[in-house]
Amino acid sequence: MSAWLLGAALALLAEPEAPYAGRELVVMVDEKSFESWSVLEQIARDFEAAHPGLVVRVIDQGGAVGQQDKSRFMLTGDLPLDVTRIDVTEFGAFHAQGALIDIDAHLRALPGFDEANYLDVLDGFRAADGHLFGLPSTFTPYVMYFNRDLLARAGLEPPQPNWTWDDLLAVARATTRDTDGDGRIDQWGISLTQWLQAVVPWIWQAGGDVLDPTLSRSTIGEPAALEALRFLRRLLHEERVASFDATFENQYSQGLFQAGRCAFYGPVGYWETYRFKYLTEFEWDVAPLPRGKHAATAIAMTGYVVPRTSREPALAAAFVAELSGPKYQYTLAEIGNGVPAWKAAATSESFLDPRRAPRSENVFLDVLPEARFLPSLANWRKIEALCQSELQGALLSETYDVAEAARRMQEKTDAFLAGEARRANLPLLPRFALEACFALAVLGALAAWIVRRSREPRRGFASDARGALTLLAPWAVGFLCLFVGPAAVSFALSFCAWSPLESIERVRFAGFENWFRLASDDTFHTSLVATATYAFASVPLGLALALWLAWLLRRESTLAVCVRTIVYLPAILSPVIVAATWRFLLDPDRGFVNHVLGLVGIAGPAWTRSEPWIVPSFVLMSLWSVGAQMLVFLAALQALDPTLEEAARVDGAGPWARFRHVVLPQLSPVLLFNLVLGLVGGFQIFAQAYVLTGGGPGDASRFLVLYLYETGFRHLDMGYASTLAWVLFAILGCFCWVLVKTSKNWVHYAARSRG
Amino acid sequence: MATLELEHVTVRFGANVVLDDVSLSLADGEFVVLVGPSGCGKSTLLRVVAGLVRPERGTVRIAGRAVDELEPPERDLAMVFQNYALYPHKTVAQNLAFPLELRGLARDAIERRVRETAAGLGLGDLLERKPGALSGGQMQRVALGRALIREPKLFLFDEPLSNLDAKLRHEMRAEIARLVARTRITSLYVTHDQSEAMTLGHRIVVLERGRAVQAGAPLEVFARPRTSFVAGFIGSPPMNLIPGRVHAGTFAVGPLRVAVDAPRAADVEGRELVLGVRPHAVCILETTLQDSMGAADADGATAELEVAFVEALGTQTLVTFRLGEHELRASLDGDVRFRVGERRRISISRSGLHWFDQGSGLRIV
Repeated sequence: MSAWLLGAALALLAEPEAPYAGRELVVMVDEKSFESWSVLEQIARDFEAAHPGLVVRVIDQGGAVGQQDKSRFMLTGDLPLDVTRIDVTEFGAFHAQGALIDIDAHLRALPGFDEANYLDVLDGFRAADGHLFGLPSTFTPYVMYFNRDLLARAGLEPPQPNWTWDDLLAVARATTRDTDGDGRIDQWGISLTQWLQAVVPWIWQAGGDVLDPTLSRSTIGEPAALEALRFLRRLLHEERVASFDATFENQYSQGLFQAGRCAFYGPVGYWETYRFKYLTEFEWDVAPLPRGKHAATAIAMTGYVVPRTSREPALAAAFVAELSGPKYQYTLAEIGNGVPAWKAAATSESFLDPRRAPRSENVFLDVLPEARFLPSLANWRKIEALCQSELQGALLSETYDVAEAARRMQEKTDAFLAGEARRANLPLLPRFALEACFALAVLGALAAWIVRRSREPRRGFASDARGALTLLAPWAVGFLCLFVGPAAVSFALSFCAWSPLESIERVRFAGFENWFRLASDDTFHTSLVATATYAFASVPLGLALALWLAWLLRRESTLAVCVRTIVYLPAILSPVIVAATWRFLLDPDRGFVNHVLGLVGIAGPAWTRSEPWIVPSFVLMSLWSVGAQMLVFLAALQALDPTLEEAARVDGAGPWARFRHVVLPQLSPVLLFNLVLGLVGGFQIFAQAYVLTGGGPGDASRFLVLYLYETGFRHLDMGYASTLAWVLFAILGCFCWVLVKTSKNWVHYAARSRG
Repeated sequence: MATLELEHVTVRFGANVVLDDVSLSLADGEFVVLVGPSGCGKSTLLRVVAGLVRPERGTVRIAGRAVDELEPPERDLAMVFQNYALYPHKTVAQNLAFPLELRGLARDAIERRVRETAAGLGLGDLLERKPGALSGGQMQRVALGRALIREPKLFLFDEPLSNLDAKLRHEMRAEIARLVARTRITSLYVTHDQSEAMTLGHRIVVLERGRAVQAGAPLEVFARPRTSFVAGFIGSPPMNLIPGRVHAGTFAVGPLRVAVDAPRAADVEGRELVLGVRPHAVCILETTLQDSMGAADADGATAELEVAFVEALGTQTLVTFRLGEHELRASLDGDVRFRVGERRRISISRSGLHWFDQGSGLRIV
């Protein structure tokens, strides 16, 4: 009581000096270093001090590498979020879907705000009307890294600032060689990066582009773009002076450049400088990209924006300015997080520290005049995803027709852009339609249950039924509200177009469009085949392995208990950890599996980097985690009546006949159980692929759940994601129905003989 | 049909000696019942014969041939289990056919034998049922059929009747006796029920803690138990076993005085003995004899004892008398209306007295 009075009194006292009392700013950042965290905390506390009563809550983006999923989830769920960090390639989608608040006026109202304080990169977050929706954190132009020592050994000069494609080719030819004389090339001219943003500079240099200026049409199939793609293919396949190791997925592993076996590496950004901090075996440096017809490079950038769920846009804008302001930008420059957008920081020694590699750090600033953003108002994530597999094919496959691949990329992109334009004109769904679906489904399920119950003959006592109902009620509430209702809404959404960044009022009715799209969606087909292949390979193999292990380990002995524990351990690990472990085990060059295979003279496959081996890689991983299934089999085996086996032995049955005719039929109910659960789990594989491959190479491991997740939360297409979810549900429903129906013929529920 | 010999069979599970140097031989066509309390090793002995348990030492011969190295199916024997051990997912017909299928018999031959066997056991109507839908007696019949259908050299029965209720047990006992008599297949039958042992076997072997303590025809074992253990185990209701000491040629417990025979008096003087008396050997004397107040008479013993309790079974009545700190149970024909607490004079004839050494348990001849 007295504490409450004291609190109230203090609140009253504080009131006049705390004009911001009770107000809160939720800021989501993505910082991985302690230094930047502590500075961030300091900025937040200073901001609080400047705004008495205000609470600034800094939360970490966390989660997947380079993906801003958490902020999307918060936006989708209408959770309060005032400042968040996004990638410039996402700005277009966020802006187009009304996910961001225009903070231009707030920014300009801030004392001392001047665009001239920043390097010329603010356009990344500028809307068509010139308004700023956010400010940059750090950015980087794409440049070329090179190995100074390697060039010196080959008697070559470092590239000049205005070097050309031909110069690159010449140096690459001169440095590509077989140094140990085993007939295989082990030193390459260039480790060439292959994702869209890294390929775009070549296209610009050739005078082409990816989209036309109105952003309504793809131009990647036009001659200039083709010329760039052909040049890259020439490096990779005709001249064979470029290595294949620098795919997007492999960015975080150690590539050939770091091993000192490539003269050049790129195009890549400043983030590699941060990663190469500890690379002291040779001197590395950076150079501008070689020029084609023009000099050009792309800019990668992240920045801070104010999402639509913000309750304090003005304060949020002020905080965004702090994050882009000198205090934080100097810190980021010190850490080597990226090129600071704050001009003074970028030109200070904090950034251009001469004691730190690379020697030519100024290159990152020097190339700015020729650097461009990808058109910031396009949905680049989606366009990248659409082009990814074709682009990989065009670059990596020796036999691909580049023009054909480019035409397909262009077609897919055009279809997507046209679809987006059409969708914007679809009629809005009536207000409360989704809520009605939810309510109808819940009431319908209840009604169906009541009807069914009233038809059944009354059995037992009414009080028993009442007791059962009471005990079932908590489950029933969860089942209806968390499963039946949402499932009905998702079914309704499968006939709609809706971005999770938009508010729920902006759901548009799309008819059967999403369902018709299934037929022509190549990614869906690949995904379906990959998922089914995985499930139908991993489930029977897993069951067989689990049963075999259970059979071996069913007798009680110290050894069996130890082995059982070891076999079960992976089953309690998170799939994420399993995937991370297998990333190392299956690494084609340095992994344990290929090392062991090498010892017995087998050249191991490229596993997760090779399309034909990627699904087998996941099957292999799944077999490692059969512990749970083994445990179920073990329990069933140990519950068997041993005299049945003895009887069979006396009757003349050998070990196989005993297993086949006596043990297996008795295990059939458990087999069915494991089969159904395994199939459901197999079709729902997600976390492993999400962590290990992100769906690659190409779409080879883009399993259904991963694809629907990406569709919903990365490409912001909840309608189609719901359709995919229902397809998965229907497939699993069919399989389970067939299994249960046919199980009468092979599952024996016979009660054990009384004994 | 074959002989069976066990020579010096010893089985140890860890430190626990389950069978201790057991030797046993069955003539061709002989029906031998192994009887003993649970844990005496009788089931293990059966498993040794079947080849399911490997003995540490000793040899098993079937038809004169050592089978120690042979797997169960190669020994050509059939076994009937206590819990029937029917394959729950197979129908009766499939259960019966299974051993024949494993031997690779032709399909029509299998069908014919299944039909014959089922008919012989009254299972004709049940062939398509699964074991879950059968009664205990029917299941045991199927289990018998599965053993019979192979026409083995040797039958092994592991307490086949103990899961049945009393009435069915009697029926099935008769049925097994009939079957074995008809097929004349050498059989080894394990039970803890002495009445099965008495009625079924040509010969019974009593096992006690892994040792065969007595073998012989049922009535011979009943009449002359070799140890106090056998005496207590064989016969129902069990023999009264009363420990005591011999003083001056007389064994005295409570009011009961029994003179030990003169020729042996010197041997037993002062020794601790066990007096065995079958309940049927106890008679009630209707007239009181004034001159024999608790003294031993030459033809046995008489005493006046207090009735402790009475169990009326209809055709007979079990009367338990207080005998010092021990009890003496009498089995009397008919309905005898004794009241608890009343005193009655009993007598035991000399032929009804069995003497055992208290230390070794051995019979004193």
